[in-house]
Amino acid sequence: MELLLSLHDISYAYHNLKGEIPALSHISFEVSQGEFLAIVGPSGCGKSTLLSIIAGLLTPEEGDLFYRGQYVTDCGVGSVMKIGYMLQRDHLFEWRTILQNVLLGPELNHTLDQESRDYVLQLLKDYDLYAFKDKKPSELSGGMRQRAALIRTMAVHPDLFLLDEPFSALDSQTRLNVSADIAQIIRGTDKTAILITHDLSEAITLADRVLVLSKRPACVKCEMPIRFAVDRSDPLQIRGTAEYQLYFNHLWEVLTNEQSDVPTG
Amino acid sequence: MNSQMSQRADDISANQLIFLRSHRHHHHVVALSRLLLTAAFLGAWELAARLGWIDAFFFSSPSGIVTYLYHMIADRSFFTHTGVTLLEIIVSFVLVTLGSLLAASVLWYIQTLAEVLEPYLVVLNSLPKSALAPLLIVWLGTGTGTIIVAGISVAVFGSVINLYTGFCQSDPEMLKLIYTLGGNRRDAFFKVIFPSSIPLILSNMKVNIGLSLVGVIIGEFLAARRGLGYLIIYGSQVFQLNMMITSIIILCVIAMIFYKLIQNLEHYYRKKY
Repeated sequence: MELLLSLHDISYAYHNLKGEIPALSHISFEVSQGEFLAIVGPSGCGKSTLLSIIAGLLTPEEGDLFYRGQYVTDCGVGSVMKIGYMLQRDHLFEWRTILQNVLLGPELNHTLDQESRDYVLQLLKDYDLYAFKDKKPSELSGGMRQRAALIRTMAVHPDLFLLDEPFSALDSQTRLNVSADIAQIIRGTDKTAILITHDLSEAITLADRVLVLSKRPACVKCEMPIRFAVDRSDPLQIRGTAEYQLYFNHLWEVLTNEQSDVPTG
Repeated sequence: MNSQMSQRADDISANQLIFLRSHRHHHHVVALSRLLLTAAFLGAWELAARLGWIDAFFFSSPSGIVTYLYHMIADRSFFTHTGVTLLEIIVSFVLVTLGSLLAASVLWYIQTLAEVLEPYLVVLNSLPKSALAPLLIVWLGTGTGTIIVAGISVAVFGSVINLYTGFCQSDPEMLKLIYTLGGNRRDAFFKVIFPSSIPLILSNMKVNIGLSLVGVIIGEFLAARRGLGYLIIYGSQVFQLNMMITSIIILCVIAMIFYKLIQNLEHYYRKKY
């Protein structure tokens, strides 16, 4: 697979008058085109900071970031490719209809035309939300809202999905269904994705590779490729396999040694 | 609501009907009680004045007020004085609302400017604005302009602080979403900050209308030859209690109408969004 993203020795610290809070320490890893990478680690270890650096919302204090070999440390990969960023909550705007919400990206990029409108209408049809296009977000269930948030992300035609615990606000049953759906959708379009999660099961069932970060300041503790003999579309079937149990036990062991009581940041 | 009830009467359960009837009954009781309380107060006041329990020269009477109002309408002075005060209130209110919205937006946009100006805004907001009115007369002279500035000075500083604080409390994750979708700070303001602050802007307008009215009346006390504030202060100087109380009642009605208009705007917004 073609190399898409490389991070070399990335370090970052937050600064305030009381002192410095190191968040990331010499993090290096690579992501290939079409890969689904999950990043797990103790609470508050700096996972979201890492995603913000990749997106270009923060600039690393040390280290280099490359996109297909091109140096993008200062501006993030957002400057050279389309990024689809999904946050912990869907953040659908209540003062907009679902259609207006999912068209937010093209509107902000000044690319709102009939083609982009037709594209999101098709996505709304594909993901069973077309009937709700004129509804307000509060009229939708948690799972439907998250699917609408995914369509809003897809409306900008992203090449890279950055998923910052996008399922954490959902109840466990909805979470299982929606996470599997969204992973299928991303895989179906052959896009690259980086998923931040606290949930080991989610990481193992959805990702091609899991990266474990240490407690703060985070560094890469271990990397584990995930392979299953069974079809990955059914998360319940995957959870019943022996490989799943092996992956889970190994990751659990690594993470247990890294347990930290630092607050989420 | 009654027509809705009768239309849906076949669809709703007996218990729901009982609940709706008791709800309606409760509303009628409250409305009737308010009406009776007002009637009892006015009746007692009129009776006390006629029987000489209170001196009508100092306390006026409802019939005296109605007679005075009739004369005011007949000689058209009602329209002159009420019109002047209304104009001053509306101009102050519109300028306060638009000016504070613009100022709060600029402060949100330029955070350093907000930090620099914060202590000045706090001091100006805490200052008793009636203390500024004589100064305004020295600077601007007497007239409508001075009164409008007095109306603005009472409401504007609190309004700016209130709106700016509200803007700063917007969800930072929503702003992050705008930036990740390729938006800039201007987009963050127009797509998130402003629309999410509309309930705050409307409730702020309710406060502004009351404060503009206070400022305009203070201004009219000191620097007017026309207007309801002028009538109140003139009435007190010549012991015309009917003039004073009639003007105060007209002010109450004006305040109520403005409050109701903004409340209706608020209801319309809530219904729509």
